Amino acid sequence: MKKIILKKSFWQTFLSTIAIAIFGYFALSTIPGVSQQKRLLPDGRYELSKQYSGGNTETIQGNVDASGRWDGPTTIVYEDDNYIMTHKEDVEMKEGVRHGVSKISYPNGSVSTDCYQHGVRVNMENCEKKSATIGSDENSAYYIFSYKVPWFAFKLDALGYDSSYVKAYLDTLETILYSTVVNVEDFDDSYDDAIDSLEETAYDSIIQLNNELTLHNGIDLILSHEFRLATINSYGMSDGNTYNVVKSIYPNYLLTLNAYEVTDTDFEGFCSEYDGIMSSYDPIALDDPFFLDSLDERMYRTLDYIYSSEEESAIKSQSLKSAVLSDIDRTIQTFEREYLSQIRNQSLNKTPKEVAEIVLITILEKFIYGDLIKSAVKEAFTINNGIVTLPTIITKFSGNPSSTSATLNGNVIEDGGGEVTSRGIAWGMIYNPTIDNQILTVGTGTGDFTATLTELTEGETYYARAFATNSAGTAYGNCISFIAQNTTGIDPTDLSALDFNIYPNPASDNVTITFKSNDSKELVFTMIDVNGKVILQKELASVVQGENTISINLSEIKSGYYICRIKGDGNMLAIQKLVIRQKSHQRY
Amino acid sequence: MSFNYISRHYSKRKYIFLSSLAIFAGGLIYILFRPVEPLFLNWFSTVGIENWLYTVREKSLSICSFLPQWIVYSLTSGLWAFAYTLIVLVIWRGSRSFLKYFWFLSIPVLVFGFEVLQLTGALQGTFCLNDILWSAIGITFGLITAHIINRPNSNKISHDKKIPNRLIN
Repeated sequence: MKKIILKKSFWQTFLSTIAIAIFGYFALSTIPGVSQQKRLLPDGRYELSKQYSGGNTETIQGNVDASGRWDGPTTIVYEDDNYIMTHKEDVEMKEGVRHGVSKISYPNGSVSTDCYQHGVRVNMENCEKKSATIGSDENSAYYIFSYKVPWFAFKLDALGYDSSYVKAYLDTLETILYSTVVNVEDFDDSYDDAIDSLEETAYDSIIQLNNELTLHNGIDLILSHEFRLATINSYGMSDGNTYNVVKSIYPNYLLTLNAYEVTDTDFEGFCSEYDGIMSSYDPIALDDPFFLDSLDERMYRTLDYIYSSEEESAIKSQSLKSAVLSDIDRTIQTFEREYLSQIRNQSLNKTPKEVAEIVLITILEKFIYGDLIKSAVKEAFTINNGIVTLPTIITKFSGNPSSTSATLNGNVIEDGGGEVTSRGIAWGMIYNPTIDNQILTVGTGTGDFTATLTELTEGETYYARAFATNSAGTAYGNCISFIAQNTTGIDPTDLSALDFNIYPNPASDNVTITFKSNDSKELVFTMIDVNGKVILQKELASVVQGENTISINLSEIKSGYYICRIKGDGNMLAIQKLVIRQKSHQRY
Repeated sequence: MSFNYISRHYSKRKYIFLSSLAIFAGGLIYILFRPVEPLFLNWFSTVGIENWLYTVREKSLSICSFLPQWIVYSLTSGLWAFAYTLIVLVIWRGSRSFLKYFWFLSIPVLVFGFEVLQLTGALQGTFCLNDILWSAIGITFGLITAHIINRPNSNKISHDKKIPNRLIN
């Protein structure tokens, strides 16, 4: 019996020993060594020696960052228990972990390589492609993203996606992309595939959020769409002709439509139908706080109505709407790829329905540019592949040194990878002027520059954009508008220094203006419409010192939105806005 | 063959199954979520699924930073403790040898010993109170689980399952 117990105990002990070995193995499997020693080398680098339980040693030499983590090129020498080097590793470290290609050299002369991304060993295939294409961190999508759209990075941070998370996301996205994309033409498809592969991972939420933010960014971009601006400008005008507004102020939009093989006559026909439908709605008061929202709604509804007027419509209007509300980016791209070629192949004489379709597409195209993350990734990709892109440039209005001149500032933020051979200001009396209009060139290269436009016509509204040209083409900055007028002597912070008031406002037939004057002098009252055209100019000859009240007859002036100003001695003294309501004899 | 034999046989399976499950879960955490590559990752190289594993790790480690620290760094201590407790209990269950006390005692000694050695610096690693807490939870759960498995009714075979007469003596 005792023998049996002993035999049983032996087996139990044997099994327990195996269990303890397994337990110990697992518990110790992530413990790297048993002792370590760190010291500062004479050349300023650090050396860390690790002695492993088996007697093997690992000696790491390299620089450390502010947090004491390995940073930059690092050498790791591995030695056996007899202090004979078994192999040596040269690797780039970042934040204390391997990040890049690790080259391992053996005493017999053989060399092997591994690849790491933020401490994680990845497939060599991905690494080689990314290493070959990515030059430095400055060319990474994250760097471009945080440099170009820092406000968007702050927005993401505020929504709970901090910089390290966004960086990890963009790095992952790039790693996937660089392993698949061969040329720029394939970029969009590969980007979509990469996004698909990251869905339902830790990055799913940022992908969903970015889809929503893309929609919002796109809506912001749509606000400056030429057709929308033309609709706003034409609304309230007596003739309300959108085509005339586009032709006079936004002629470049006609060029855009021409590229889609929409002739001016086609567009005029479309505008006629569009204006007819728009005028069938009840009028919206110009001082209505929801004026623009209401007008936008009507614009989309009218476009949608014209566009879906025929049953055999290839693209149903509902799908257009749902495109905006759901998977915006991809749907619009599909739109671009699949339908634009069809549209271009259609008859040369476009029906209003076909023009409406193209107008809607030009509006929805803005959403593509609303994906700021994709833009950054694409820019990084083009830079890393040595492809020159258009420069990045901004425009800023500085002021009017005189009533016939204006000073503008431009800033070429980035050269797009190519030398900026020409830069300056493109200006004219049309929205979004190009270098085909009037230009004033100011030097070459990146950075700030100032240009003063002269010989302007006083009181006229001008538009200007900074431009920069490199081998990829000419890029334009934001379009700004200004009125040629003398702003010197005006305190821009106090435009109502004269206590200039207009009532009633909105007005219809008559309006009363009141202002204070320090002395008796001749002043001029001017009314300008939204196009910068002087509608009414009246000399105020009987101005007295103190309070002045003058009545002005507006019966000849059409309803709309106007800027009223008072000038004295050639200088503008005060500005007020005035809305003239629909009059009894006017019909929309 | 007696009914007791069947009962014992089934409960042993439960012990081994639960213990293996805990080791598997802990191993999975090490493989998927620990940035430092565990030693047993070499096994995968041996069987030639190294690249596949690195692809998986690439994806899983990106989730790592969103997981609570206790899951990545402390839960494993609890799982090892749970597994070891069950294994020792099943091996020495019913033994009349004094050796069983030695092995029972090895559970807390071994589990907490690692942390104490780390605290003193004798063993490389990070001393962490959370690890101790999770180890204690693991041991407690191990003991509770063993108690539940060993309850007289826990292995009762359902009445609708007929036991062959040849097994019931």
